[in-house]
Amino acid sequence: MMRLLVATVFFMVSAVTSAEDDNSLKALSALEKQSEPLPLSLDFHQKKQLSGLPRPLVSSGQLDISTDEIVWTTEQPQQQQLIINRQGIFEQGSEGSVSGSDTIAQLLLAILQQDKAVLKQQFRLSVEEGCVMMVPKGDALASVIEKIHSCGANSVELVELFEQNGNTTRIELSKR
Amino acid sequence: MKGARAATATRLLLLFVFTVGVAAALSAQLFNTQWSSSLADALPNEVSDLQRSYLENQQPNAQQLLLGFESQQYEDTEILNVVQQQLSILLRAESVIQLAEMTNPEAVLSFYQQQAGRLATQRDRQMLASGDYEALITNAQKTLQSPAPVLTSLQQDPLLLTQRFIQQLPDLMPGYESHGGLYTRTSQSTHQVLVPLRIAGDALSVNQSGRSVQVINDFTAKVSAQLPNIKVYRSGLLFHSDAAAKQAKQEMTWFGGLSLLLVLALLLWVFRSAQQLLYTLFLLGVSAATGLLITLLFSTQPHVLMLVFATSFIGLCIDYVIHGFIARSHGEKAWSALKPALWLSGLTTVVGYVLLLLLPLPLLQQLGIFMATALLTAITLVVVTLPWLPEPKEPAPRWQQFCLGMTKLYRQMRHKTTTHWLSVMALATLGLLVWSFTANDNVRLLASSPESLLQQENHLRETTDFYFQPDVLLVAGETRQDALERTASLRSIEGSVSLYHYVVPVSEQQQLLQDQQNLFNSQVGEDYLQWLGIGQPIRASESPEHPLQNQFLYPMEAGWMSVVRLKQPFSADDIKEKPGRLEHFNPIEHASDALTEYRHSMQLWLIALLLVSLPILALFLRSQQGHKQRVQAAWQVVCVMTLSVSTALLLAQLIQPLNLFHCIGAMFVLVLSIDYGVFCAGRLERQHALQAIYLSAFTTMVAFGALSFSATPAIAAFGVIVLIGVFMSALFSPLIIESPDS
Repeated sequence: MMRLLVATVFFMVSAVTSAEDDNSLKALSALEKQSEPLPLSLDFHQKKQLSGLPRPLVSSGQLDISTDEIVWTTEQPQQQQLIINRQGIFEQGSEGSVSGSDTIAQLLLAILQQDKAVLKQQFRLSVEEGCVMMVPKGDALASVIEKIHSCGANSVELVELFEQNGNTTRIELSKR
Repeated sequence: MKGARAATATRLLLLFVFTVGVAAALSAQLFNTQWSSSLADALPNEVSDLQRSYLENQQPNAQQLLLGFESQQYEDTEILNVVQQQLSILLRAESVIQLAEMTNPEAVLSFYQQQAGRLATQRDRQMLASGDYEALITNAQKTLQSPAPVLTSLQQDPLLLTQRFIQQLPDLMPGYESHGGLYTRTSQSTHQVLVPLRIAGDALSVNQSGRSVQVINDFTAKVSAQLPNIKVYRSGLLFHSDAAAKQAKQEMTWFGGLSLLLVLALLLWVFRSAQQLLYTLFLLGVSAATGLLITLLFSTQPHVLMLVFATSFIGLCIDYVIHGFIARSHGEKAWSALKPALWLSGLTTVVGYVLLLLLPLPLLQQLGIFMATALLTAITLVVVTLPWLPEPKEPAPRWQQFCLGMTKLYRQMRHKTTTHWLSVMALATLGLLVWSFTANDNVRLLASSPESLLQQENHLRETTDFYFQPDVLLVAGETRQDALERTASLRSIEGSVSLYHYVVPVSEQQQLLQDQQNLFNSQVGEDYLQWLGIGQPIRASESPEHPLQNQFLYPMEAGWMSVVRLKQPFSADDIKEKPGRLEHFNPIEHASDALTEYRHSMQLWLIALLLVSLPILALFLRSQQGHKQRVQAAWQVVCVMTLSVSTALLLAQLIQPLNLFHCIGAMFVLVLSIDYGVFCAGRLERQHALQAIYLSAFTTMVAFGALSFSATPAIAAFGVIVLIGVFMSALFSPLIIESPDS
């Protein structure tokens, strides 16, 4: 009886573990399909729905993604150019980076460059309704971000960021 | 016969009443005594209230420790999983071991979310105060259209001032990610998992420390078994104290056990009876109890370190008993010849210890009271009660023959010029010591830790980058807010971290809210709120306690103290100290300075005792002889004392620079040298004196000298001085010219 119980528990644990691994592999494969050769130029349309605000904040512009950095150029509603690299988020023309932005910068870099190694290290990956779902592993990131969706068949077409405080950011990407 | 019996019974009754009286009074006094054990209490009086409060807050019973697991072979998630799994087993089994979360990002973020709008960077506050509204609004709009998450509520903080404040907070654990109290970081392909732990039990309990280290070692061993080749690093006082306790236990077992056996065997062989041992135990017990009782009556807060300093009393007590028993065994004449010498050497030593009361150090004053009282009691008891005992057997014949041989040898060696070359040797050694004197009182040199443990500690210190310097700046305030407000002026010191970097005082928060109100009442402010689609901002309530507050803000007896921690060594140009309000403090430097002060005082005392001994001995030694002979005998004794102590210090500094513990050893050597010198210069038959001196010297050298092999430098320092000093004293005191009436 005991042996049977142990064997059952063992198979159940193995099944859960293998299901997790399987899901993670599927997610990595989906990310592989979404990745495109760099450098890459895209148009973006961002819609930020913030708690307490009656309407979303909408912005649009261009993205230039290379292996080292992303140039995030907002054209509407305000002209702004941000350089995102591993050291942080820098505003064009300003002296330094936004202090403490290095983590979020590295994350954006990894998502938009489809850096699977970093994504696997920082998130639990799975596939949900054709999108790769990323749930943060670390407490610091998890206290801010609930999950991130990266959607698209052969390229990243949509990135959705769900924050713990109820804010959502939806970034639609399209070839220029 | 009947009368003699009655007299003995009366004496014994009186002794019994005295003993019981002392024991009862001591028990009552001990019950009301508050012993000091913290280093702060042992430091000289000039430690300020601010520094004392800081030291007291830095010595909690709970101990912090840090474990690090590192590998290039395993991913951090793989290491984290194994560590979490084994750690949960450990924490379930050992309730005294807890995770010591260093920073809780969730709690920190939650604090700032509640305080949204009340905190802003210095630059933003200046812009707001100067009316640069458009720039602030543009900055907020740019943040809103960037892809970065918005951390705080826009209804409370439409300008995102607190979001920018959060982004410039100093990171206490740079580059680390928190996982429910564990921390991971990958740097140059090395994956590191850190486990900060807290031992909730009593840190002073050796048994508990040993048990905790054992289970932590089991835990790391299990992780290593699951992840072969993983590197494990440990840091924390617990590991050092456990290593020191094990070292001390091993030393006690071997050195202590062997030396005790040797001493007991020698005493039993010489005296051929256990009577002497039992009497020594009685004398030690009653004298020490009396000394302690008087010390407690005069000191409001006696320090436990005083008892450590007082170990020499044991040696002196044994010495008096040995002399007493040997003199008694040689008959009434020998006993009568001993008594004046015993009083003279004892009282000279007592006067020496009374001199300690003149020093401004409470610990040494307590030592002076204890030693003077205990020695006076011991001498009185020896002189009064020893004749009540049955006459002891003469020492073993071989011992007597050996001492007789030595007496003859020294007689041949003694010469008319003995005093001259004894003087030259003493003065030359003293001169050489003064010329080559090397001291170092750094507290770090007094303890020893295994090399591997030090390497592990250094590795974590170098790689983690979240250890602070021991230097701190202490800011006093009547209230928390007051202390925090005063800390503001120190915020620009490079590498400094204080609570002010995480939260500003309420007065500044209110000013910020007022300035924001002005902005939102202006046209640009109203337009911005309209653009967002919200009304006037909601004001957050006054700040709750910051999650990091207990690392930077401490209560004092009157008021509060804000601590500024430093990542870089302190530079005196950074601040202008204001005693009682703003002080720089380095506990390690301060403890070292305190040890220097104690050493200086002990050196002064040693010199004072040498100087005081000469006139006292010249006055009372060989009182039946002429003035010249008395001075010559006293001078010879002082020469032997000087020679013994100087040689011991001179040779000891070849091993390690001199420190306080050498001086404690020198104190013991000096008072024993008085004994040996006085017994040689007195009316005692020289061979009888040597029987006692050699036995006393040999037992002291074996018992205390064995400590010189200790791995702990402080203990070894004491042992080396006693070993060399007592040897020199026993070697040179027989050169003192015998009294013609001996």
